Amino acid sequence: MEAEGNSSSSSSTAANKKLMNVNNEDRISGLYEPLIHHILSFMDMKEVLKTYLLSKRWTNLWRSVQTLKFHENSWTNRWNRCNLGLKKNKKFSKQAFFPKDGQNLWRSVRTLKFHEHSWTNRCNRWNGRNPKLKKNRLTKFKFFVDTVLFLQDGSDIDKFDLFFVSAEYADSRLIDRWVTYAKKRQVQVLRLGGVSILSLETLYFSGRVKTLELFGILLPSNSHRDLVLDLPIVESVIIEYCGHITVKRLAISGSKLKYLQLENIYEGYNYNTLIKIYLMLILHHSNALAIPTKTIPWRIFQL
Amino acid sequence: MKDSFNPSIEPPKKTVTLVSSDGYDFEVEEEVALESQVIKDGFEDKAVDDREYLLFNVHSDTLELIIKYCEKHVSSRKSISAAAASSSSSNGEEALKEWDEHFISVDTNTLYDILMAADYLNIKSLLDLAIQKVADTIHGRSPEQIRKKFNIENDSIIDPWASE
Repeated sequence: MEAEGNSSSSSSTAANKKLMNVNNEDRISGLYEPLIHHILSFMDMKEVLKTYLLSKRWTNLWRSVQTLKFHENSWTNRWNRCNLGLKKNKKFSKQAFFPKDGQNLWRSVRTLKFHEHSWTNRCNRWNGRNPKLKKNRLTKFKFFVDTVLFLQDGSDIDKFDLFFVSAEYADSRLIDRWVTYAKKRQVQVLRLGGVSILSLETLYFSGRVKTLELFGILLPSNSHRDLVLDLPIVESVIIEYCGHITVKRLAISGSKLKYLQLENIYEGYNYNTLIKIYLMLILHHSNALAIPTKTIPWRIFQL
Repeated sequence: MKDSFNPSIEPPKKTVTLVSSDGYDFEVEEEVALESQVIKDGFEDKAVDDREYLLFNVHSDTLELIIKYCEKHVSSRKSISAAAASSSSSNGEEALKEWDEHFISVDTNTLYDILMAADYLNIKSLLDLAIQKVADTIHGRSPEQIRKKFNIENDSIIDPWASE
């Protein structure tokens, strides 16, 4: 009886031990590199970089990730604060962390900015009083982006996702440099948000950019107050919450364009612009063409 | 003539046999198996009576889960499209999402098995689901916490004073 009890207990501990062993196995490091890159592609670069500390296996993995996502949000206290608020609503916070289409993230940030004045958070007040601190953080973010881009191993990237909260005019050259770098590395999905003012060269697309998404950007214009977005091989374009006050004529032309979304909430500012869209194939069904602007005149021409 | 005797009998559903790494046979409907891009790719070339797939990398426990997932997705896709056709409002997609979330709430080991199998069979939605789950786990944790969570051995710092 006793022996039986003993044996059963020992066998159960052995089973437990086996289970423990199985559970203790480090399986994430054993995954193929593309799979690990896929996992990392869901994360902000700041999070990705943290993984290099894990072990030898991980030391160089981040250098060759194909999705570069730089969101200034992950650097600001404001965003941290907002995390706390969002965590109450789990679904929403998930969307904000891993935006399927940066739209949600952008929306949540806008809302926060809107309410900023009413916030009595100590941290924010501190930042408000101390512009130097804010500037310092932004510089840190820029330095981070610069460093990561420099240390990358130079392989092709799929997606470049840059999201500023408080960019300044002076940053445009820096941003231009980053975007040029991304284009050189055959980026396919380019998503820019909150970037103050882009130079005209930044908006010149050749190479392999297939998806272009611009959020909250003041579009530049040339000396004739024209802006021509020539997108020879871009297939999908989203321009949202962008300002084009200085642009009198905005022309978008794309021979391979399959999806175009032009949605600007600042219609009151943008009404001066005349938008012309040149397409090879007229996008018939409403799913492919979304231009809800009412006050801005726009026309479609066939190439 | 035969049909007229038994009008209630349905035509037999086309099935595919999947064989797991430990030798178990799983008979699934063609539609369900076609969720996997790998099976879909070479499907037409195979003879109808020879539709058997040896999945050397997938254990029977994992395969069972994956078949469950595919069956659910095939059936719910049908019901969603049916609901759309009859223009009746339904929250089929939401329900499916919830089901997915419940489905993927497994221990880390099973999660990796699913991840590897989804990659091997090339089932994109399942792979994305599993990877999202892993990314969720990593997100917001310090390196030390991540190491603990995934049992990653820290071998990056070599201690010169450690005894051999």
